Amino acid sequence: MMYSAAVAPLFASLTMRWKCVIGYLLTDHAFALAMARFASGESAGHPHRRWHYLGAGSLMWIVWQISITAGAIIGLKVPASWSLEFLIPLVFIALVAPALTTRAHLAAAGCATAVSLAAVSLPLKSGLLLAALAGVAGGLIVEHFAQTAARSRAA
Amino acid sequence: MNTWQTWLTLLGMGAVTFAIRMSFILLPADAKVPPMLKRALVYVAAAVLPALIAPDVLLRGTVTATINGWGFDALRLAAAILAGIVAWKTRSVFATLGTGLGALLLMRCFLLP
Repeated sequence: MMYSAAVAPLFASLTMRWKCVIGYLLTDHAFALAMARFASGESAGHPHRRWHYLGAGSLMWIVWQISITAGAIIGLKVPASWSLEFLIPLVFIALVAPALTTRAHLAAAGCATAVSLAAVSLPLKSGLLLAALAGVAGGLIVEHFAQTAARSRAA
Repeated sequence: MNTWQTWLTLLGMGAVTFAIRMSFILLPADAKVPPMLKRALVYVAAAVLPALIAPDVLLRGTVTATINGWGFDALRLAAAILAGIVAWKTRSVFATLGTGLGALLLMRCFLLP
């Protein structure tokens, strides 16, 4: 739901049909790619961003379907000592590290990390939600202080 | 659970996740989003992804280090930090995956008894 809210402004002007496609393809990785490319920086507001998203999203959909079938068939034969499950956090690291561009983003990451560890035993993964809220709050607070500091320097 | 009940459950779960994903995307272009919410959404990615990463790195694996009675896998942490540096420098997913997993397996070979 938070992903949906965050990408919504990028695709607000599209037709209903496009929005359904975007919603269907909205995964961690499609979200991270879209935000990294179009939320800020030189490509922000690019007119063809829906095509970029469609390409990335459908490629991931195809790879996902193939991989999940392969995983179900051969997954049990791969020895646990290879630690392939460590690839999951690594993919997320690859997606988030380049996005941590400002102190406020770093603060968001730090707060979310701390809360996710402290709240890991809460039921139904509600620790993740708490951590996300804490991270967003941390980012906003640091942004607020950075703006106040910049304003007082300017004055 | 018989076959059609399983299919019904799968379809239901699909419908619910789809509905959740569509929730905000469906808002019309001229919908008024409170400016505070807009500012907050900038930090969603920077918050959610680390919150997914941290427990996977620090609360799993074999305990190889202990700080104040809290045990964790120092090799996983070291590999994750290295991967983070590579991701930051190269922006390449494959370089990050290779470095992280390679570092973890190498360290396991050479550092663990």
